[in-house]
Amino acid sequence: MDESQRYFQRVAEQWDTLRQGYFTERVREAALAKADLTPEMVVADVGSGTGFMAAGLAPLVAKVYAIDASPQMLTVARRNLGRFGNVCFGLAWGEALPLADASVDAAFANMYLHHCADPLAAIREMARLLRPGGRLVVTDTDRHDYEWMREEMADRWLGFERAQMKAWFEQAGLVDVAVDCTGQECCAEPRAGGERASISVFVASGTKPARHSYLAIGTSVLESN
Amino acid sequence: MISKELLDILVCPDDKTKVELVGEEWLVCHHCGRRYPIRDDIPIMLIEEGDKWRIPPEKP
Repeated sequence: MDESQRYFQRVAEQWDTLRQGYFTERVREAALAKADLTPEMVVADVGSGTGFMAAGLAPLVAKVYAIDASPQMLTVARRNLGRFGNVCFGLAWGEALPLADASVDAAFANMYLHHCADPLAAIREMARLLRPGGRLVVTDTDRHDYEWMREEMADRWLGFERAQMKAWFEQAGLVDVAVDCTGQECCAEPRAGGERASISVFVASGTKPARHSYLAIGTSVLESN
Repeated sequence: MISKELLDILVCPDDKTKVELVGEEWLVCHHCGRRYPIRDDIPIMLIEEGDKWRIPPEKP
């Protein structure tokens, strides 16, 4: 069991209360707005936790695959999402996803990548799942210096530089990559007291190009210049 | 029971080979021999879990 699994095992039952300080429905709305969802779509929610993002997705699409590496978080997720009949669960790491290539129309990772040992590997895996034209949408915190979050919240990364995130999306073969503000702050307090953290949250999005779509790749190069 | 739609797209998290449902509780990768258990209807698709129940692949 790794640090994040231990952390979420401990906090799973309180997570829905705790996370209200960390992120809100407006972060979810910012993510959903980037995905161009339609009712027949099949989507993946990676690092789904207790189902916060999946609960926003389930009413909008045909099927949600909610994937997390913490059995305790998935147990709470199943309870939270019981009212939806279109959510399937799987226990897996984001860096080694168990879904086939080109099996979903969109993939989401909300406040997940900062728990990953290898965020680029997770981005590549989520990009692999996308059908041509599919969207990857990541919401996470900007880079910060609150070291205590590593120990207290099992964060492996103290947020991310937006330029880094954009580069990772492009290395994963995605086009039309954008990293925008959500206008939301992630807030948390250290247990021992001290400065309360308030960190801005970004939304990164990109599109899986159509196969052999040199036009799409060419357009992206032009835009980035 | 895991849904047919999920079963259709489930692959081994390591080598991405399609897994086969064996009985009601196991998903087997015939490429690497890892077996992934299904517990409380949730497939446990962790490589380290598959390793615990791995059966050596048959030599042709």
